[in-house]
Amino acid sequence: MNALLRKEIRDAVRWLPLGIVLLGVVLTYVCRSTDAPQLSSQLFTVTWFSTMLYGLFLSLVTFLPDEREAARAFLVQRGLAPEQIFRTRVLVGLSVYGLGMFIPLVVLALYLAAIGMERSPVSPWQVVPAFSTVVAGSIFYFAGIVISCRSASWFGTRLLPLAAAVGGSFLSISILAGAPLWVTLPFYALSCLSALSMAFAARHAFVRMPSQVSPARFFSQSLVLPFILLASSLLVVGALGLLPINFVSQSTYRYAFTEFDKDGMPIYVVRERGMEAFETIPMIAPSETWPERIEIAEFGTPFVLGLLGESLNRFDPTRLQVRGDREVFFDPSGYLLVYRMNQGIGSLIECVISADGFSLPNEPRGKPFQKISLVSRISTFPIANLNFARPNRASQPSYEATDWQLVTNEGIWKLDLEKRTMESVLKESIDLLAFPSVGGDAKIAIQSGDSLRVYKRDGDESSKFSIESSFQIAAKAGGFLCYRDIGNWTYVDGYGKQEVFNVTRTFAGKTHEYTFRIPAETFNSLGRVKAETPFIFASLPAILTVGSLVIFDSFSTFSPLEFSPLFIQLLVSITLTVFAAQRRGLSVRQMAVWCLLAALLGLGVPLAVLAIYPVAVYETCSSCSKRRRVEHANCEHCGADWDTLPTEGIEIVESETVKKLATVG
Amino acid sequence: MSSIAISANNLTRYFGNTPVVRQVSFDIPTGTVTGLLGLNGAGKSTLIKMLMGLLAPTRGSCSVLGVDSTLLTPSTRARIGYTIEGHFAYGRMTVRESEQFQSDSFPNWNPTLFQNTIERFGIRPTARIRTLSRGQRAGVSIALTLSSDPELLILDDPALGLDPVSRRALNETILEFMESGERTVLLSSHLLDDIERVTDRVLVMVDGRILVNSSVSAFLERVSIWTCDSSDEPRQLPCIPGLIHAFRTGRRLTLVVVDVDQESEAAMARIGGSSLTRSDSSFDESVIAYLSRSRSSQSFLTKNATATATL
Repeated sequence: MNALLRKEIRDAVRWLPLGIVLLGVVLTYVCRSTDAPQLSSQLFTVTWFSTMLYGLFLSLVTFLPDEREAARAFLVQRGLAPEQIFRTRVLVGLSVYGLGMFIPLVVLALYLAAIGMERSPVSPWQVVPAFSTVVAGSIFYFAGIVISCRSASWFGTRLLPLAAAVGGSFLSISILAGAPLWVTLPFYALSCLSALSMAFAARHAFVRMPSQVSPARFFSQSLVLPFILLASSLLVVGALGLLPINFVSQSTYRYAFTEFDKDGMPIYVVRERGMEAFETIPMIAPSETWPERIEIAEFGTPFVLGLLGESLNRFDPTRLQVRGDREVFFDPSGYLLVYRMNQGIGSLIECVISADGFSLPNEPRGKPFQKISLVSRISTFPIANLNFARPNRASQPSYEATDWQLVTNEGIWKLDLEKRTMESVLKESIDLLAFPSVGGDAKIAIQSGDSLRVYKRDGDESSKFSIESSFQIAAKAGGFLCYRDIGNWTYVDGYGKQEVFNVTRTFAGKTHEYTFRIPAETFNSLGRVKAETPFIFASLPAILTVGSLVIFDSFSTFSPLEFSPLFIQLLVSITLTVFAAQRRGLSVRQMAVWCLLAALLGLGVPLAVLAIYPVAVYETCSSCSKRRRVEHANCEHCGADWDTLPTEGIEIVESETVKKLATVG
Repeated sequence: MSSIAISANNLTRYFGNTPVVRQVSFDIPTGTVTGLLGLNGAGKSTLIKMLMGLLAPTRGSCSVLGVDSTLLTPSTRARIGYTIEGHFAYGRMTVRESEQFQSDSFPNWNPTLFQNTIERFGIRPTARIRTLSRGQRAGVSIALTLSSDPELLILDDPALGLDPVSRRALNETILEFMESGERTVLLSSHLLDDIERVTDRVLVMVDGRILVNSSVSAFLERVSIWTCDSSDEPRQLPCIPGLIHAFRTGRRLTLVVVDVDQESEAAMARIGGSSLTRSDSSFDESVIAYLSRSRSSQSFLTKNATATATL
């Protein structure tokens, strides 16, 4: 065992510098060309590619040479179980893979730690997603073993497990998401589970006792390899089938906006790729009559209410604003970091802002912020351009910066970076915040729970606000507000593409609440889903598309004709599966199971059948003249044994002597 | 210990649509040296790989040392010595490292035997395998196989690349190896002299089938060689029962026949008349007669070379 270990170490370690150099070079390049706010995602991407290249390369160069007949015989013919050999090889291989990938990352993390937050808004934590992808990327190492050890044509299905490796490892990207940990961790766990599954498949492909090579034993320990091949086939077919969507969506993407007319009536506007309005639908109450002419107002004060948020992901700082020689970042830990650019030196931290005041970098930090307005950012109002609905940005007045203000979930704060003071401008709970798209910074709208309040600036005092209006709305997620005065305003709950909107309109002192449903025809024409339906229905597994339609109760939005690609897919995949199953000589029962899978999973199934089962070889049965499988001892049609080969009369067989010798022995 | 060291029952192997080994059945008793003979492509190596559990049979079964070949355990493998066709060893290793690599996996390793064997081949333990000549590499391979002190020795063309002296040494080693009487050797080779010298039994494979499975002495007793003067082409010969092979050298026609009886002797007399004589049968001629059934053994320069007489 020790000799085997030494041999494996010697074989694998010589490739270690390659991994270090490969990842080291790309990390150096990325670090020199990437800003701090994108560093973790960039590191993730290049590490993902590196794990793919290095993991595959390492397993191919260490396992493929031993798959030659003589080498395989030499390796296996010894007093060691193939499992032991496999474990030893994988232990060494994974160690080298891990070292090759981790050493550059550890060096980078140490470098980032050495720079420290003082010199640049970077931290060693930004390397964490790259570390996690190295762990999940071990799937490529195992995929390489499966590719090396599985008997298949290089121009056929040999490389197929690579698709499952790409799919499985890509789940680890969830670690970058800003979603809560309980959402991202299961995805990452799934990614690691994929790697583990591939490891079992690799074990099976390497060990492959002759007694286990029969793929007919589907429900055996070899189950994981067919599963990997099936998943790979589905991914390949899905990816190829969805490829045309990219070209289709270039011309068919339609966007929905909510705008208002001069009377404050909300209008549902459909545009094609930012062009002129393609369709305008007034969002009126059922009792109202349809206006003859609709004109989108060029004036008014529509607000878009946006949620306050946390950092964009949990590793990178979010750049809030650059002004002059100062940059302000929102750190994932909840602090605002103010950096000052210095020529030659780079960024140097000036101060840290916490919820209860300023501190110097080397001082203890106070209470972190929970949520801040990432869209409005720290700014002088109204620097944020929130008008998604209206293209007339040029009409916005420009404002000179007077001071810095910050919106958090606890209120609005005035910051003086020179004096390092923090003064509360407005102290109240804020869920959503909006600035008017036109009309400057005279007003802001704040939503907290179901209470919506409009504040106006007091004279020239930019830091003073007084409440102008307060009203109740049944809204939680934000939407559009068109506000004139307390007796004339409209609130539309929700953004862009949704089928039903709750509208609250107050006109001449009367409040009117109603639900507006977008006409089905208009709604169905929106976005990429409908334009790409034929491709999705034709290439994705039926169980996935139909399942999602059932879950979201969207069956009715599709006409029977639109389901035709799904039916065609079913027909084609079942036909191809029958054809593939016949070529592979599967029994009727096996064929039925695969046809059922084809109905559920689509066109990937016939490819999986071809990949999983070897080609069936037949000979004509001398008894029933039908084609019979050469593997079976008896004819599957008539049960006949194989004929004894005709003797030529020259055979010399001394079976009696053998028996005698055996008895003596 | 099982009295049958190797057993095959209707063993069949296809590569694609081609049957390479066809319904082969035989038993090799413990304590015998059995020679496996056949032309290139006859299926010898495929048969050995199936016996060693490196290749799954398409149909049928085989066992070594009483264990199904498809289920060989490490402990059973440790009792088998197998010289791989082509004498594979890791080129980057030195001879000493190769020994360590093998000795680690075989509990009965005999370092003295290994040392003696490589000395016989004039190999330095510090030499890298890739720097060795083909013959020396064969020596290392044989040393690695023998030093594991196996109960069953399966040698797939072990003399490939060996010089005559080393071949002689290998034969002597096999004979010495068999002295304990409880060991078994299956020796696949093209060198008929060696086979005749060391084996008790012989298996002759032709086109994936075993046509001969007998002791060497019985084989030689049952095969006879006859010569006569005749102008007939071998192809045009009348039916001779037991005729394995017929070939012409000038006017001289040679007939190789198995189990000669009155009927076959009369048939030969009709061709050769008074010139018909029985020669001393040799192992070489007899084996070549069998092997020539599927391929001509005449000179490559001979036009229309054909030798096979159909019965």
